[in-house]
Amino acid sequence: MSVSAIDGRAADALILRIAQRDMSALESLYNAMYREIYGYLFSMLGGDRSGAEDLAQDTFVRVWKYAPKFSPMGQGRAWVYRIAGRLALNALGNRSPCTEELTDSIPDSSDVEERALDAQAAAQALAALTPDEREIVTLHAVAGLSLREIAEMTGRPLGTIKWKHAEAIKKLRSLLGEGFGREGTE
Amino acid sequence: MKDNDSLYDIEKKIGAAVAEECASAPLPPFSVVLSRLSASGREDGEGEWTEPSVEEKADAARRRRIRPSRVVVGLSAAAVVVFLTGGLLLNVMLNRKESAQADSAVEYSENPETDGEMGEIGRCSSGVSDSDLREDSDECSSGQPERDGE
Repeated sequence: MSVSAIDGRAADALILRIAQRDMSALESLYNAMYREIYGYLFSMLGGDRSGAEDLAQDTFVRVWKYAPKFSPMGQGRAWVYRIAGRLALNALGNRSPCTEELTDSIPDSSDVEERALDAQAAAQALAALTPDEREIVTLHAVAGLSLREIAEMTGRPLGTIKWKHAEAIKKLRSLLGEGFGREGTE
Repeated sequence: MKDNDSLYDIEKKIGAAVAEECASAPLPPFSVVLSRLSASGREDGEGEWTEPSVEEKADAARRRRIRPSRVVVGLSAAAVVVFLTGGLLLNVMLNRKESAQADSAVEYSENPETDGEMGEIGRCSSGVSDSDLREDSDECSSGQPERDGE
């Protein structure tokens, strides 16, 4: 599910203006994308709200910094996600593994089945995945990017992305309960 | 659990949950980013962020054109070119020296005096029959042809 308030081409145009050192363009991009970037980082960081806020703000500082290197191809949104993703992966790399702690706090699957999944539980379930898998699922589920766009963005083969995505979904199912999703097509 | 639940329902639910989180998240004022940008500029030695003048923008664009990585690549390429050119010059010099040596050897072999000696030695010692020697005895003898005796 995409929470985007801006499409790739509109983001392209804003980033090009930012490259020309137009601060009002950065403000527009920030207003349009802050929340979705925050949501992506919140999921990537396993539900750490303050960490997500911090990195979301840092993402826009880096957008300003790296905008002159940006080449517009209708991938402006994906480009911003890429910056945020790198920050998240760096932050995850600096943290000690905490998968066991997090999976302990994931609610019982029978409870989850009965109600909508809350954000904290979702983020904690995602935290049980490897950083690669988490990035793919989050970009697909939260940012609304297609698997092809994710492949282009991360520079990996589409087949690898599809395989890792399917593996991640299987893991999430076993974590959150079989009843949460069943075999079928996308 | 519904029959039409797909494998990816779980992903949709995660997306929906995070979308709710996003919608309820407060949007910090843009000034927070500005102050971070200034701090980042200070860390990079660029000072506080202010709206750059046209000259500063042009200067920044010029500086961006020459990045350290490009300088390193340029220097490496120059080093490779110098190395290859040096090797080529060395090779040419060695070739010249060799050809000069070969030329002097040719000059040596073209020297009539030494050539004569070599020719005579060759002619007289290369399996020539006794009769031939007799016929050509004037050539091989030491300047005293038989005729002189007659």
